[in-house]
Amino acid sequence: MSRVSRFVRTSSLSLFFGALFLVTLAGQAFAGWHQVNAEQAASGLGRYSFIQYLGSAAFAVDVVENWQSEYMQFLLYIVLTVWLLQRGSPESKELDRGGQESDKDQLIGRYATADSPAWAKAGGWRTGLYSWSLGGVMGVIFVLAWLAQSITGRAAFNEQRLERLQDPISWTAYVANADFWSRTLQNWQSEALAVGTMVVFAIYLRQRGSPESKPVGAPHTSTGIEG
Amino acid sequence: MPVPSRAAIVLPLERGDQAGCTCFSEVITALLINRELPARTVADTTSSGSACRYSAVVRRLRIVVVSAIALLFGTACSSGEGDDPADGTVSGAVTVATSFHDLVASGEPASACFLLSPSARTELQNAAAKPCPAALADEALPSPGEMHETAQFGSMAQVRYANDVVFLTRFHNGWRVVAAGCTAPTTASGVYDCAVEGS
Repeated sequence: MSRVSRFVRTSSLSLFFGALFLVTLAGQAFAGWHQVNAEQAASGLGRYSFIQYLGSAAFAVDVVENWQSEYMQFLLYIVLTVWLLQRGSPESKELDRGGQESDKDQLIGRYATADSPAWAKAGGWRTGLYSWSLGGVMGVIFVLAWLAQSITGRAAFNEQRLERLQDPISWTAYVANADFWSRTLQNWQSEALAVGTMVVFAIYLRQRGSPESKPVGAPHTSTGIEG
Repeated sequence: MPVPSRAAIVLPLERGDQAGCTCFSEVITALLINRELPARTVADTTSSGSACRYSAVVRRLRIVVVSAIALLFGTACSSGEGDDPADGTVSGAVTVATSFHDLVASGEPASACFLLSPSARTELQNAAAKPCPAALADEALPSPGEMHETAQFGSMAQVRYANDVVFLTRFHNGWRVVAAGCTAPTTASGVYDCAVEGS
């Protein structure tokens, strides 16, 4: 097997989702461009070129409002599963392991192994920071995407207000506006539903071979076992 | 505003390069809004070997002609800056809004109608049951006064004057007025009531 083939096989999960992201983003851009131009034409307003649409607030807010909610979902899932448990779910840790666990369990400091990451071995603030790096990066991306949603959402909302012959509103007024919270909460509720149902469905249902599922023959009461 | 001597305005014939586009648009804009040309434009165009002079014979038709040219020419000059009416930024919207008011004030509603969006023009004509120039003249739009504030979001812009608020939309060939002669909203909806208003 060549190096390229081996790389593709051993990174197929990230490569697939990377490619799917690019394809679907391009599809969203193309469909969104047609949608916005249909609305502009129906209102007797000027149309966007494709390049103009790619740089528009209308496209940007549609993209980043989904980004923020996805990163919010994973931030909560990564951090809350440190403490919150679910009997019978492979998404939960075993019921007696709630919390940040011991250094020995986490292979940090003097319990680090030879191939542990350098900052896991280092101790002190570097190990502390590295211990929260996954949730921290997800959190930073979530906050930045949510901020970007507020900025681009305000611009898109103000474009609609000008179309209706209304004055534009400030950023502070926008983040208190129903449009901002409607965009935000419609995404958050769907993330909460999807994650919540996955946690519960995985207690009773199985997907053979998936690490997100218990083994097919595992009892419903077993917790923290992945297939 | 002082009206420049048309005999002194020299237009370059070479329109292929971007510099020519911007320069030509500045001349059109100056004609449209009846103001002095920027010094650079006059100097540059005067130095051009290939030039033509607007004569007094065509003066009466100049506004209609340059308005039509501006509509066509805007497509090729959309990346220009400053006072280019085809400029997609808010300064282009200001140029068109100001030109619109100047043309109405100078008794040239036919030219002002070129700067209306198709929907605003149609609604104006339908509401008055008259051609656009006559309908626009009947509206007796207020003198806008000093410009106070501008805003642009996507394909829409708003230019606020002391006595008027103008709303514009961006087409592929530049900004067009969708509403003018607007009075401050009096209802909770915050919607302006405008003498000229597209859908």
